[in-house]
Amino acid sequence: MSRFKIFNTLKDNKETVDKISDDNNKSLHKDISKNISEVKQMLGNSFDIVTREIKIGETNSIEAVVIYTDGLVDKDLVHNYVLETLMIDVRKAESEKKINSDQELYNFIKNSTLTTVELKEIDIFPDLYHHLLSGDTIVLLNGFPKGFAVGSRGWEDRGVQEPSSQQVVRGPKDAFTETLRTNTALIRRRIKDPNLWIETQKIGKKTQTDVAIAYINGLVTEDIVLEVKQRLNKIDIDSILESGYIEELIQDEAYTPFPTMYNSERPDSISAGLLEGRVAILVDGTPFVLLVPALFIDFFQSSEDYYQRSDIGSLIRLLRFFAFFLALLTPSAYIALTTFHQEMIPTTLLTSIAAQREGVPFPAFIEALIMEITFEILREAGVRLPRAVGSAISIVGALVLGQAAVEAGIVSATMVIVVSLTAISSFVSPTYNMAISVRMLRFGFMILAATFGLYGIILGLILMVLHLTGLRSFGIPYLSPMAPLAVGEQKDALIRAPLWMQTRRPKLISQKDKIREKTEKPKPTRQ
Amino acid sequence: MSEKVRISGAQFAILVIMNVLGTAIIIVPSIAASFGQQNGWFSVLLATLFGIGLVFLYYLIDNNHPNKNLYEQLEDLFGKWIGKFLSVLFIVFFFEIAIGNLRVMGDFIITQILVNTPIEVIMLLAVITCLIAVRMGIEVISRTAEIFFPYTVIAIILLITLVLPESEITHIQPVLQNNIAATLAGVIPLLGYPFLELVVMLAIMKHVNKQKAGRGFLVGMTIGGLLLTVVTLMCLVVLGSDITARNVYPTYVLGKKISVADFLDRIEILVAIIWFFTIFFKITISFYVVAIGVSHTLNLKNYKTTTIPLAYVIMVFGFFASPNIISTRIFLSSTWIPVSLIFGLVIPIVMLVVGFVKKKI
Amino acid sequence: MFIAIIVLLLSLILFRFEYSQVKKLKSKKDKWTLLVGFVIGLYCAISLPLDLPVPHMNRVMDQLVGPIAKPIATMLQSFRIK
Repeated sequence: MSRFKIFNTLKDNKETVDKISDDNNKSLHKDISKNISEVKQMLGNSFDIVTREIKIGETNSIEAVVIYTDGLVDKDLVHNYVLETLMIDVRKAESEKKINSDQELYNFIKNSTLTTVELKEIDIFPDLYHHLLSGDTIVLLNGFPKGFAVGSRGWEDRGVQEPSSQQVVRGPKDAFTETLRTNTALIRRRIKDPNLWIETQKIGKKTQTDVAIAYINGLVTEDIVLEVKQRLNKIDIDSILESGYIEELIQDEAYTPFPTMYNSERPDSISAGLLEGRVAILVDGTPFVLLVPALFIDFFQSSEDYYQRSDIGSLIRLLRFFAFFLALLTPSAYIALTTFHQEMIPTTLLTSIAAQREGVPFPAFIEALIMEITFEILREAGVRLPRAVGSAISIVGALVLGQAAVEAGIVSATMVIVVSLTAISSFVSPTYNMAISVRMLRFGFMILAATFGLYGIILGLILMVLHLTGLRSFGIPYLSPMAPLAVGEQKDALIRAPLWMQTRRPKLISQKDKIREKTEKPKPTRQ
Repeated sequence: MSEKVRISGAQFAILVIMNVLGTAIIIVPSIAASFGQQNGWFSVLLATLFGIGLVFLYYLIDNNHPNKNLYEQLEDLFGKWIGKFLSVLFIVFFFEIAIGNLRVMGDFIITQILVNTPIEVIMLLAVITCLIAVRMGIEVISRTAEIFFPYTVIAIILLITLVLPESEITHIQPVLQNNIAATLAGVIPLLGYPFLELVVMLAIMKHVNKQKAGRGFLVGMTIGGLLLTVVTLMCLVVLGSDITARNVYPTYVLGKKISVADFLDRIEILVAIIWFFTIFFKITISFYVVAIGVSHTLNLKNYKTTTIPLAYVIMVFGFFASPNIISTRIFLSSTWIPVSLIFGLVIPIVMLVVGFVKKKI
Repeated sequence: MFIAIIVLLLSLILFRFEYSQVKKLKSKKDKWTLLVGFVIGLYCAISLPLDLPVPHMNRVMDQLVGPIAKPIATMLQSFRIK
C-alpha cells in the first residue's frame, strides 16, 4: 500500500514539474479575474504583493488591476503616474469623446496615459513575474491577453558611503553600493567615453541576479572579454548572492591560496583597471566589484599610490612587499634561528633570548603556534564583534594575552614581539584577500622551519614561487611583469614611476591603443 | 614527448648560469687550488675560456636542427636505433649529473647546516621539490629561475664585498710564476665539472629562439664562469691556497669570514642557503632532461608519466651514489673526466661532423 | 620494516593519483611505463629501509671507464700538492 503511495507522490511530483515547464511560456488570459487568481496562486498569496482592482473610464468602463510588490516600488510614482492617471485622466479624455472602443482605450493608456519612462508590454506569465518581482508595476486590462509593466523600481538602499575596506587618506571617498545601477553610474561618472560598454546577463536560476561586465571597447583584448563571457555562461547555479560566488566559479585555478581576481569597492580602483584594459564584473547586491585579469603585484597597489607623489608612492609599495615577506616569514625565521642556527644570532641578543626562554616550557615552534593561533582567534573575534565590545577585546588582547602570558612564563617576550610584528605587517596589505593567503601560508612555513630550519624555509619559498609562476589569471602569467620579465613594465610594478614617465599602457594586459599620454616632464613654460 | 613552450633568451642565460654555478661554486675553488695552488683562479679562468668555446660547438649543433632537442637530433643523425642507443647513454649521463649533485648537496647540508638531520630526509625534500618543478614544465622552471636569479647574484656579490677587507694580495703572489704545469693540469678536472655538463642545455635549447639561444648561452657561460673565477680568487686571496685546497667547502669557510660591524658575524648560512637555488635548478634541469629523454625514447604521450618513478630512482640512486664528499671528489677528478669528455665533447663533435656530411650529400 | 610499510602505503596513494592522470592520456604505453616505473621505484624505495642491493652509480662508472680513467687520474695525481 505504502509503496503505491510513494509511487503516487512521485507521479504527482512529475506532474508539477511538467506543469512548471509548461508555465515557461504560458500566455496571459483574457479574463482579468483568472489572471489575478493565477498570479496570487503562483506567488502563494504573499502579503507583500499588492493587487488593486480599479475601473477605468465612466461610460464604457473597463475593469483593470494594478499589481506591484510592496517595498520594491517607488510608491509616489505608482500613485501619481499610474493610479491617478488611470483613474482620472482617462475619464477626462472620455468626456472629450476621444475614446470609443476598448482597443482605443488600450492604445490611449499605452501612448498617452502612463507617463513614465520605462514601459513594456507583456503577454506571458514569466515576464509578468520577472517584472513584478524586480519592482515594476503591472497593469492588466480586462479583455486583453496582455498588459503593461511600468518601470517603477525604487527601493530602500544604503546610498553611496565611504568605503569600509580600502581606505585612503587622499582620494575619492565614495564606494560602490548594493545597487547595480548606482555602481555602473559611479563608473560612468568617471569615464565619459562612449567606448565604455556595459553588458548584463542574469545568473542564478532562483535569484536571477543581474551580472554586468564592463570594459572599454578598443582598449580591452577581445579574447579576455570572450573568455569572461564564456566562463560566465558556464555557470549553472541556483543563487548568486555575492561576487565571491562568481569569483570562485570562474577563476583559473581552483586549488590555490592566492587570489587570481581583484576585488574592490572603490570606483576609482575599478575605473583605473578599466583604463588599463581590464574587464570589470559587477554583481547586483554587493558593493564588491571584480576586476580581471589580476596580477600578483596588483594586490600590493593601492589607488592612493597614484594620488600621492611618486617617490612616496614607490617607497610605500616597496614597504608593502617587505611587509608581505615579514608577515610570511617572521615567525618561521624566529623558529629556525632559535632551534637550528643559534650561531647566526648575535651573541648578546642570543643570551637575552635564552634568558627569557629559560622559564618557557615549550619548544619555540609550539610557543609560536600558540601565539599565532591566539592572535588569529583574537582577530576573527575583533571582526565579528559588535562595535561596543571592541574595546574589551583589545584590553584582553593587549594585557591578558600579551603581558600576563609573558609574566606567567607561558611565552617569551621575544615571541610576543615576533607575533605583533607579523600581525602589523599583515595589516599593511592593501587588499584583504592577499592578507588571507599570507595568514594561511605562514603556518606552513612555521612547520617547515620547525623541522628543517632555514633549509625548509628555502624549499618552501621555492615551492611557493613555483606555484605562483605556474598560475595564470585569464591567460596572463600571474607573476608578470617579473617572470616573464618585462623591463618596460617595471615603471608601475615594484615602484610607481611619475605619471609623465608612464606614457604607455601595461602591454601585458592589452596591446591596443598603447599610448596613454603625451605629457612632457613638467617645467615652467618661461625660463 | 617534450612540451611546446617558449622560453626567452634571458631565461635561458639564467638557466646556464645556474647550471654552471650549481654545487660547483662550493667545491671548485678547492679542486682548483689543489692543483695550481695560488694560481688556481687561472685554471678556472682557462676552463671558462674552454667553456665559451664549447658554447660555439653546441650552438652549431643546435643551429643544424633548430627545432629539435638533443634526443630528436640523435635519431635524425644516426638513424632510429643507434640514435635511441645514444639517447639512452645520454640519459644515463644526465641521470648521473642529477644524482651526483643531489648527493653533493645532501653532504654539504648535513655536514655544515643541519648536522643532526639524516641525509635521506634532506635529499627526499629536495627531490620532492624538484619533482613538483619538473611536473610544472620548463616554462615555469625558467620563470622561477628568473625570480630567484637576482638574489643569487646579490648573495655572491655580497659575499665578495664583505670579505674584501680580509683579503691579502700576498696570498696569490707571485702571480703565474710557479706551478704552471700544475695550473694547466688543474684545468682538466674543471672541464668535466662543471663546463662539459652544460651539454644538458642542448636538450632544452629548442625552446629558445635560434639567435637568442646562442647569445644567451654565451652570456650565461661567460657570467657563470667569471663568477666562479672570482669566487675562487676570493677564496685564494682571503684564505690562502693551502686552506682553500685542504677544505672541502672553501667557499663556505669564506662565508664564515663575513663580519658586519662586529654584530652580524655568522651569516654564512644565509649565503649558503641562497646557493641552494643554483643547486636546485641544476638538479631540476637534469631531472627534467632525463624525464623528456625517457619519454622520447619510449615514445610516450606525456613526459609527466615518467616523473614520479624517476623521482624514486633519483632519490635512492642519489643516496647510494657515493658514501661521502671525499669519494665524490676523487670521482670528479678521475672517472668523471673521460665520461664527461665523451658526452660533452666527443659525441657532440661527431654529431656536428655527421650533420655537415649529411647536409653536403 | 615499519618505515618500508609506510613508504609502500604512501606510494600506493601516489600511484592511484598518478594513474588517474595517466589514464586520461589514453595511451597504453604510458600506462605500462607508469606501472613498470612504479615497480622499479618501489623496489628502490624499500631498498633503503630493508638494505636491498642497489647499484652504486659512481662505482659502476668507475668500472666501465676505469681503463681510460686510471692513467688520467695518476697523471693528475702527480701534479697535486701533497
